[in-house]
Amino acid sequence: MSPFDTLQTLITAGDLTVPGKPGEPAGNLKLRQEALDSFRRQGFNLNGREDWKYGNIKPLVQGRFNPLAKGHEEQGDLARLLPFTENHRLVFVNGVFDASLSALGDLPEGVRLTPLAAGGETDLGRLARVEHNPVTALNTAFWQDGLLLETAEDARLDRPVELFFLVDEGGNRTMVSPRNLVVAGARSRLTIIERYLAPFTESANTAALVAPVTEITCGEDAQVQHVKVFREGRGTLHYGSTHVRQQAGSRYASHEIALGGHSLRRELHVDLDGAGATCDLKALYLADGDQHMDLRTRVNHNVPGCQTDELYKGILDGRARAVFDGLIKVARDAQQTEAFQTNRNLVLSDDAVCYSIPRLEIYADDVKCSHGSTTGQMDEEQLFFLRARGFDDRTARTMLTMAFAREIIATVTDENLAAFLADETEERLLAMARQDFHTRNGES
Amino acid sequence: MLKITHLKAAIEGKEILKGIDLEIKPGEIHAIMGPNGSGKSTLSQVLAGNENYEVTGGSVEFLGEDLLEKDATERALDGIFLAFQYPVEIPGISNEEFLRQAVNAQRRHRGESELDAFDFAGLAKDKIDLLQLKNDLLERSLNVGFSGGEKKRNEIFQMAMLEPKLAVLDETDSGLDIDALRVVAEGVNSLRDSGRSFLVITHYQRLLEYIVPDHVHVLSAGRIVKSGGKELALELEEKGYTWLGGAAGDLATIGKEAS
Amino acid sequence: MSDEKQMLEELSSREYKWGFVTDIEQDTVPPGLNEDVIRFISAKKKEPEWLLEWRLKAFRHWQTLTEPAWQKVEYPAVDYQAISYYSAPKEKPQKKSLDEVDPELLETYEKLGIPLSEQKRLANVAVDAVFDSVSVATTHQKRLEEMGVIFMPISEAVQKHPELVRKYLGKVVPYTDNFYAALNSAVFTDGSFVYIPQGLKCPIELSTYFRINAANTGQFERTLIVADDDSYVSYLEGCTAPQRDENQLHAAVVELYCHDDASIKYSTVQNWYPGDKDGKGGIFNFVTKRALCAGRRSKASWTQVETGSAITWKYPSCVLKGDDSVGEFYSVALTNNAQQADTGTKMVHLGRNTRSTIVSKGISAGRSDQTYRGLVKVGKKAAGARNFTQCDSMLLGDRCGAHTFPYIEQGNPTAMVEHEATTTRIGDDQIFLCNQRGISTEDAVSMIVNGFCREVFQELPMEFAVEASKLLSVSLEGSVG
Repeated sequence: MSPFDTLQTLITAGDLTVPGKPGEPAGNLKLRQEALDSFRRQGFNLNGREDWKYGNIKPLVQGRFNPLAKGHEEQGDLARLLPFTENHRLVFVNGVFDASLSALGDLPEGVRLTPLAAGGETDLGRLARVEHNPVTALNTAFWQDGLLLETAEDARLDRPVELFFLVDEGGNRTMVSPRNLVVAGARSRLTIIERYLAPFTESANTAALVAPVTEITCGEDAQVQHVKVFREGRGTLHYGSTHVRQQAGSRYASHEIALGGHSLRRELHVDLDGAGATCDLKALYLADGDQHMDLRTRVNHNVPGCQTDELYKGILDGRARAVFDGLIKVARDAQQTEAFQTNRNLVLSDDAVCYSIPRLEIYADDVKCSHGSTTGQMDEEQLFFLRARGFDDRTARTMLTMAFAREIIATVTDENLAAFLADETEERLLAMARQDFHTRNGES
Repeated sequence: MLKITHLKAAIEGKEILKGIDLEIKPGEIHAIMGPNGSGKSTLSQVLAGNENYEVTGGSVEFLGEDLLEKDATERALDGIFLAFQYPVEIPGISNEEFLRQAVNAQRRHRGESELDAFDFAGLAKDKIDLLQLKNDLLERSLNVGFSGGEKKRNEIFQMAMLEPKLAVLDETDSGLDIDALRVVAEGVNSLRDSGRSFLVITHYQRLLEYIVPDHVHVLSAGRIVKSGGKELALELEEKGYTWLGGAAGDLATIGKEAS
Repeated sequence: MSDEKQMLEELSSREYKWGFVTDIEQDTVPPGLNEDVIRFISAKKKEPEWLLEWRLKAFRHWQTLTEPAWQKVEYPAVDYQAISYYSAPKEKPQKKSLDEVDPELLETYEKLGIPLSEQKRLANVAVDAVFDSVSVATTHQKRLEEMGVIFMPISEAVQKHPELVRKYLGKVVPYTDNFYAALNSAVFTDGSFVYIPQGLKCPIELSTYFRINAANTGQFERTLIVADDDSYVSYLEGCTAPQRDENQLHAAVVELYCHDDASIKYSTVQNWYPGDKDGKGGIFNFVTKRALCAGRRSKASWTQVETGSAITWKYPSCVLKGDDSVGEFYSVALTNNAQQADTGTKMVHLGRNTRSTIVSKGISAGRSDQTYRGLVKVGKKAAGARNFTQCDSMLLGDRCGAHTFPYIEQGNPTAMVEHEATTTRIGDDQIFLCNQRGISTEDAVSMIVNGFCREVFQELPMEFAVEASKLLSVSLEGSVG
């Protein structure tokens, strides 16, 4: 295929073989080829599909991206984008591992941390199924690199593993496909932070498709914290997914903070496969301008006695579109399930549209399940209260919006990251408020 | 009225009652005291016919009939009332509806005509006043949003409405302040008559100051280890369960500390 | 097996009470659907040319459509060529009074508890009885006429009030709306037409009772209710069908049209034959019901109690176009044995300050599967719109399913949309408490379920509420043990 064709053309391009990396294990190569074949069977046949309702399909189908992204040549000024922390850091530029920007640090015993491409034979593809998901299929066929993290029983990572996925000009018109694999041993504890940045695609005429896939297995009683921050520029498309399998007694805590990108879609699939497993899923999405953000969660309670607590919050401004689609499925005989799902949206502008589909699918009777969804504007009484205390309208609105967002940010346990997110969110909200203020004044 | 002979019962395969013998005559009030885990609540649940408890031995005769072969509904209709230690909530069902069904089930069973809404309301009003309950009690969903004390008083209210032959009060005093306790006791005392018996299960002697028992039994590790008159309760209060020694003593210190 | 369980087993094998067949001579066209059949139906009903044309257009459109597949129900494919599209009791073409109605039919409705004869009829309910495809009797005609209310079979309205029918037919549910609506538009045979004149608060309830009798026929009735400015009407719909091993198709369309300040209250107690314990037979109920609140301050209210049908696919909806208009949906759906239901509503807020309320109570028992599916859509211009949705599911037993799929599309920042859902069951401790107070398990279940549904039953007219509550108890028999 020519590098500037749409991904659809892969389907009709005659016999295709996926190029492997030098020394890549045979198992990986086979997986790549199967995934490519699967993509060629399914294509982007997404219209009318329930899991893509209200989704932004067009840019995937029409965008021209070369799936064979090749990394970057010069480092440029990328180092300035990286915060100074003592975290175990892996940096990937346009999908390719950059050793000079990375700092793996000292690792405790029983922890294996390496770029996935250097990781040899793995259990890749066990959780992220390629059927019925063309983006996952493409990632599985073309992934460049990512994280491989394995912890032995009882191992403890005190500092987070922080991943940076950067896209620079070299990634223009490419599909960047990060792939992460985490296997947390029994009773081990770890924190992973995934951060996506594409500062060079701020303008809409440059474009990259970032399509990461992360697979996480939580062993018995393991504790995994997983924070994802999406802060790509307005030219970037991001279509990614996380696939988690939890064994008995394990705990998985997820934060998804979506701030950037032109069109962003995240899928989070959790299978609760062992009794007493709990998952705690939180998200904050801020969308303005022409942004389209699409957050989907699928939690399967496959066995009795597991818990899900889910809170997704969105703030919408401008002409933004946002989708929350969450499904909690309680299998037959998965008794004593407790699952709570909440979606709250704050709509700030006349032209923003918000879609909310909180779903429960229940096949067991001894369960405690509920869900709720609210969408609306700011509480007028609270606003009045603040103004009566002497705050001007704009400040009061920003304060309330920030308070709405803080409920999510405050639960990020990594202090540096929480502080960064608070700043970032506040900056975004202030920018929104300024725009809003100008628009209002312009109108009146 | 009630004759329990060598009663043994288990829950989830674990034997809790290890051979209880007890006889209650019409008009008598018996108190059962004992430390936590001694089997007090199990006894009340078994008498009421909770199927989660398995009777593994012995017999129970009520009004000359074999009680154990009847299900919970039949026992209730025969006149056994259990005031639950943890009153159950049923959202969407008002107290009135619930009780009217219950009262009419009793009346049908006795071959009497059913009460209509007006007769029922009149009857209920008297009892509500007696127990100093709020007037909106009847409209509220059964026990939903009730405080602990309200729930317990509601149990006594139900007892007053159903006029049972044998009332089993399972730790009705727990969680009650002194005023509520007095109200509950007055409710019970107003129902005392020569044809009605009570089995009062309690952890503390306090309740027995207001409801004076004819007999007091101490239950420990699934057996009645001592029986006596009302003075036994006072003695227990003074000396604690340890005073009894043996199996009772091992478990009993907790009871003393708490009281 | 415990006694309780045994008793419940016995109860569950009780038969559907309304499952008898009326032995009556019928005019039935052979199975199959083509333009000739449509012409036949139209000719039989002596319809004007415009209506035939409309039917044919609908038919041609239908041929381009495929059955919807997104609903969460599974059923064998329907062979639309194996169904007879017209079946009517043989009788005199024009009946002048109820005396001329076939006594067999009168008896059928008596058995169903719907007395049609002048002596026995319900004092404040006017009934239009539809037997298979045609209306057989309408009570209280004279009194209604005096008030200016038009209440008659739609086929009769086409003759007597063609201008009104033509003005409103298909305005709320166009034949292009969906597969079943298109099919209904092509082949509908009868149903009720109601027109309430300006300013009239109709003092008596209007009611249609639908009965499917003949085998291998589909029922495609069409109901159209128009409430003119500042008027009010309460309308009741009931339905039953004989017990048959084959599935039968029911694809009705109901259109409600509310002008300024008008209010329509539409109540349904749906009790089509649900099939037997193993899921054999039963009605496929694929119904399109929609209200258009075209006028300002108008109001449409749907109340439904769904206990029957093998498969239910039904979303009574409100399009709130007039400013300050109000839509309501109160639903109790009960599925038992092998029944499947995918039901809910759509509230489409277009006008300013429009308000909607959704209260859905789903009870699943046996091996049944039930889905609430609801859309709340707030258009860009619907400033100040409000929706509140409460969906509660109750599961009886561990072999059934209860699902809640709301879709919220919020396009105006000043609108407020709230959705809440909970799942409960009847706890063993609750049953034990009731038993201990002398209430049998069966009565306890019935009482708790009725309590669960109270908010919806309160919306029903009195006679219906009692009926619904009884029906629920009967349908629940054998579901707990």
